[in-house]
Amino acid sequence: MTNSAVPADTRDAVGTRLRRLVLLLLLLLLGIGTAGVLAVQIATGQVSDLAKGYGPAGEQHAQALTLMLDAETAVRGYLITGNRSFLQPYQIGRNKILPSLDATGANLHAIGEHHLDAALADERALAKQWLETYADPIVSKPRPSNATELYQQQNAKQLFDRFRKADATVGASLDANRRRLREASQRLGGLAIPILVIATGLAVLTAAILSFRIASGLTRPLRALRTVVGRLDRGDLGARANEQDGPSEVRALARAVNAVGRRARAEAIVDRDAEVFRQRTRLIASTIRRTTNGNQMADLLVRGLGDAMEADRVWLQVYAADRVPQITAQWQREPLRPLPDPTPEQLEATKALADRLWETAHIISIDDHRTYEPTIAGRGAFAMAQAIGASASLLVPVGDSTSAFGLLWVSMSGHSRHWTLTETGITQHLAADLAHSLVQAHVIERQAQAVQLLRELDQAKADFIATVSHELRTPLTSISGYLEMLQDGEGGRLPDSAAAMLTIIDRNATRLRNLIEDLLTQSRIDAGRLRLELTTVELRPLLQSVLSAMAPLASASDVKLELVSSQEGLNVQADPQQLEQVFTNLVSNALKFTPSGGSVLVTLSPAEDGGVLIEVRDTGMGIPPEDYPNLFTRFFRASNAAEAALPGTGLGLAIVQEIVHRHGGAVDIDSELGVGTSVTVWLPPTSQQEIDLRTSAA
Amino acid sequence: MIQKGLTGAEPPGSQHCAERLTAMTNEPTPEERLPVALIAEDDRDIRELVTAKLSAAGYHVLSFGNGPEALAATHKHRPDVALLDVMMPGISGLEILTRLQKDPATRTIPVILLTAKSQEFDINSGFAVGAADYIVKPFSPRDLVSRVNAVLGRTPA
Repeated sequence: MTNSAVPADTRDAVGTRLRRLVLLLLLLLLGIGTAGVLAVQIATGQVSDLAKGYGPAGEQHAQALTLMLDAETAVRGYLITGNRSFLQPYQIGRNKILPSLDATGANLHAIGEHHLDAALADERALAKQWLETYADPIVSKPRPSNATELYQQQNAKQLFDRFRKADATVGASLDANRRRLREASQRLGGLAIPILVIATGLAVLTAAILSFRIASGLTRPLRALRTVVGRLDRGDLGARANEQDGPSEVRALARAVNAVGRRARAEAIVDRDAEVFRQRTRLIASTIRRTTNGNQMADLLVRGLGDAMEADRVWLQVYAADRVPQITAQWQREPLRPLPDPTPEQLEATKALADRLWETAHIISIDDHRTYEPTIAGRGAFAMAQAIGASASLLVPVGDSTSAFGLLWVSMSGHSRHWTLTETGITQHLAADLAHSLVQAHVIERQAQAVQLLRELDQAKADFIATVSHELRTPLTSISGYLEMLQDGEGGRLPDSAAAMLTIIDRNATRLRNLIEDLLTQSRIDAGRLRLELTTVELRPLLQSVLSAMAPLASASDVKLELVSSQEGLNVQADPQQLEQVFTNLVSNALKFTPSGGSVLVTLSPAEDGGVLIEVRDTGMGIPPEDYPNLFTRFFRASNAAEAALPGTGLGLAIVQEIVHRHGGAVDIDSELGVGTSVTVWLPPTSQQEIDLRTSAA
Repeated sequence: MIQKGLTGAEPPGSQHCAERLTAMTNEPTPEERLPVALIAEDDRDIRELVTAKLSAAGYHVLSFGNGPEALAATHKHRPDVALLDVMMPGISGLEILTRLQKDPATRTIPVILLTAKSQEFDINSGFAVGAADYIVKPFSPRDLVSRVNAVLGRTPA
């Protein structure tokens, strides 16, 4: 990853460029200003020299010359004429000549001009000498006679000429200076203006060029950068900005954008990897849920997790608990060898760790064992980690609601590893899934065991019933059989008393037989094993058979037992043995509750709907109305029957109802206390019965 | 183990025997030959009861206490009728019936099944295998004789 801090690279920075531009402009401005000021100053100096210095000095000097010439003319006129009036200009100008020359020097001094001092002094001295030595003496005295000679004295003329020469020198010098100044002023004007114009133009041009270059150097890379950011924004995470283009700030920005892009891409890759990982683990979870075998689940988990996480080793230990069986499962990448079975100490240590992690709702994620300091509780487990050469570990407890019952250990061998949040999260999730599935599977397994046990018990019960049935009927067969032979006289003629005893034995053998039948039928009903073996049954012979079997019982209690059948050939589709049991029970009941001298009447008649009605009517004690709702409840016995200590199991009517219902029929009881009871069985017509059976089977 | 029929109770059944002989005059068998009934029943008391009753009814009775012997004797003696207890050690009555049905020589022998398992025993399947009739324990000896007679087409006097 590139360091996103601003680099020390200021080369071609916009700031630097701008600073340079501003500096340059300032310098230009300063130069132009200075030049202007200088030009103005020079011009001002020249004008001032002209105005204050050379101008007045020239005038004063010219005045002095004029005065001197007038004076000389006046003196000469006086000398020639002797007329004093000629002296008037002399007298007027005499005292102004020297001050004028002095004023000339003063004017020149005022502008700092001293070059002419010597010449001026010379001129003044000559003027003074001419005035004092020549003119004044002439004027102050009366016109001498030799005035003309005097005047024509060569030295006076020479002196004046010298004066004029000196004056001319000064005058020429003054003129030259004035001319020079004027020319300089003209030159300055002709030079300064173009220079200023050119300098200003240059400054404007430079500023414009630099500004344009800076602007273009900024906008182009910025536009490119904006395009890149737009692509990134649209999800093109591969888009990168040119980090070499543009000023340093823009390059830094490009680097920052690229760093963001790279990070986003890296995150996208991480996200994608995490999603792939999630997909794989979802597959593991669903596979685990499909199996109910704990060992298989554990194997699937370690294999799947090791593969999905690209780990080197996955170890799962489930400790035996009441909710789960003990399981050890492990997976390792080739060429690692499987770990030996954990020692009891190791089991203890890892279990303690699992418990602790579970209690504190933690997992342990170790990126590098070398830099990890285990807690006291974890030491035992970490000794094991060392033993197996784990370099990075992820330890997750396996448990459900209340406590941990296992530990899941994902490890790397030989190099460190950063366990991502996704990895740890999903591993925890899988551990929870596994815990739930293990508990569930254990419950299912135990349920299956319980069901198997119940099945075995049921089978044992069925076997027992079959055995009891066989074992009870077999001796009963001998008892009844030999009894019948005895009664038939096949054992020889018996005394009446013995015959009476045999009748009692017979009656009780019949009762015993019925009892056994009821018990077996009830247990078959309970076990759902009562099946109908339907055949066409003619009811009259069946009822006759039942009555004849009951005849000894009836005669023993002195009850009249009779069958009334209004119509021959009444058939039903039924299981004859079960039907026989129904009527045996009903007749047996009727006989039981009917006192001596009473009667039991069995009536067979066709029903209006095509079915058959069989009524068993007795003149017995009747049934209390409050007992009606419970009559068909098994083991229920009518209160008055129980009070009278009449024997019975309370199974009879329950079985009757069950069998009749199975045949699609109905049982109806009508009773009056002390008068008698009537039980009516309605059996459906064959066609309807078939429909009913089919309906109930569907 | 072959138990001979009890001969003491012969007189009451002699008339049946006479009728049978009359009915069989066309056959080339000796006149004194009685119809042979084979009984296979592991309970000795019941076996003796049936033997006594059938002997009295005019049958020559071959009785056996287990399946294998009964099967062997059936093949050997070709009885006129066989009464087989369904629940027997060794080979069950149903199994014997099935085997008899497979052998053309014994297929025609009518078989009556004796069973104590009235409900569990699939009577229809018994008939399907080829039983002529079935008798549920406990049974009336009189009823048993009349059923045997019925199977053989004999009518009691």
